[in-house]
Amino acid sequence: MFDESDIWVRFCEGEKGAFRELYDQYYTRMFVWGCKWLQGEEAFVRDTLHDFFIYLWERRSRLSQPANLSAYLLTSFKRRLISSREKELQPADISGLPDVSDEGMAEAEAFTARFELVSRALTALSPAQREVIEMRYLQGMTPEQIAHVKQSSLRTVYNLMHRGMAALRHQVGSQHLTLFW
Amino acid sequence: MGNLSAAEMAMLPSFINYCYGTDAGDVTYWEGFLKANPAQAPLISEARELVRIGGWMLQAEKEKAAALHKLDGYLAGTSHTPARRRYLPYIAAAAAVAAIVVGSLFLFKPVQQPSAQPGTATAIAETSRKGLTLPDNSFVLLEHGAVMEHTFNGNSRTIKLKGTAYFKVAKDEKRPFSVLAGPYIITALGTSFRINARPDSLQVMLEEGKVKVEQQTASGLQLIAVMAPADRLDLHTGSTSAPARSTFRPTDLQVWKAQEIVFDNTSLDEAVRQIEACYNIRIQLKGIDPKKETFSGRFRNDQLTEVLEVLCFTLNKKYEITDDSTYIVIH
Repeated sequence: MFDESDIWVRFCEGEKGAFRELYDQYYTRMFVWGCKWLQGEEAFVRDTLHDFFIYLWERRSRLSQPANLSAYLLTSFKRRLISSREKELQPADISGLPDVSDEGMAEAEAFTARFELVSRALTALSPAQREVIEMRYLQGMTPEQIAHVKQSSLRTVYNLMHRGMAALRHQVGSQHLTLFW
Repeated sequence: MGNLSAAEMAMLPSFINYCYGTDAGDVTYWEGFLKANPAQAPLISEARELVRIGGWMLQAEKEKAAALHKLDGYLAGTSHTPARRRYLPYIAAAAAVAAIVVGSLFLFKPVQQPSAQPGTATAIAETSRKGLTLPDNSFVLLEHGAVMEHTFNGNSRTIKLKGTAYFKVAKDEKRPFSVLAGPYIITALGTSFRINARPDSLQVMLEEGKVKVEQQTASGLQLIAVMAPADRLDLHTGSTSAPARSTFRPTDLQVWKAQEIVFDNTSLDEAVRQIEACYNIRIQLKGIDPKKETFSGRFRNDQLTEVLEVLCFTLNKKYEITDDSTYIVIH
């Protein structure tokens, strides 16, 4: 089981294995969180995220144990993300960036709840279902194009899509859906 | 609908289509639903948020292996001197090149079979994106699954396209450059634009220059639009509604072009052209014969500097970027 406080202690002590584990554990969550703030800037988020982890690593001896590691990482990453974006943009473009001052633990926690919900749902998918759903919706490919690229029949693609969506719905249905509404 | 939760809504294929604009009917349906049920707006925006999170999550999962690899390169190379650099030190670039060469063994070979007609050739981007230079020196970037056939002769340049492609057209005022996509014809002189041609819809994004879009009808050609840079046009076959015109940010197209860049034993000539087109820059090679060198590599959403570092590592060269970052010299 992943132990947040233990991994953070080992990270601060300079254990490379702990750094890798932390990166592995938080990569997806923090990437998604970053994309939420800078929509359409995925490549920038990805690079800044890598830099952010290295930035933490280089300052590890001066970091203290946060009460909530996840919220701590999320809020400090957001601050860093937006300040590095500001440096790259012309002053006139900055007005569109989200305001860093309005951050708060509550926001990071609300995000974490949503993230967990989607994450649990997506674990219900097989790799093949994931791939088809990703091609269909993220890349906007038609089932015909997917079948062509995957060299499989249209029927297989429809099956994968259908079963994938059914698995998602089933997974979501089994959770407490009134989480938000 | 009243009892549907945001999470349940986010799992409906039609709702996901609406969020990503993959299906015009679904977009219309949900826009109508929102108009008719304004009280549901918070629910819909919550569901949209969940769909967005799911999309980014899938993207992160895909990219995570490469990110961990990059981290390992960092950890292996900087145990004593943690010099912070924005991009990989060379030692890590070496690891990246090794991985790239192995990966490229699985790439497909471009299909370029001359068909019966002289001056006609077909190209398909099967499993990865494909960049190619046409006989007139125009550059094409074919998206996964796109199929393109070109026929060039003394007074016309004609492309038949299914799927998505980006064109950087070589200027030739005597021979118009036309792309046929279903019933539509997109005609350009010297310009660059992206087209997404599906059986039931067409999207054109114009980067620079000017294009005109026409439709073949029973009564002949009908002009639909003349586009200016940063214009986006969305058309749906059989729909009676007016074509949707909007503008896009130049960075949107930039991000798309850099999503995936694949070189599989590509001549340096071609590789440089593709990098130029993808990042809107000019590259000058000094002391390298671009016809004699080849390059293999695979990049996903990478910054230009990262591509250049890997390229220069392979060539054992250095690069310099001019102050306005539009011109690069490799020497």
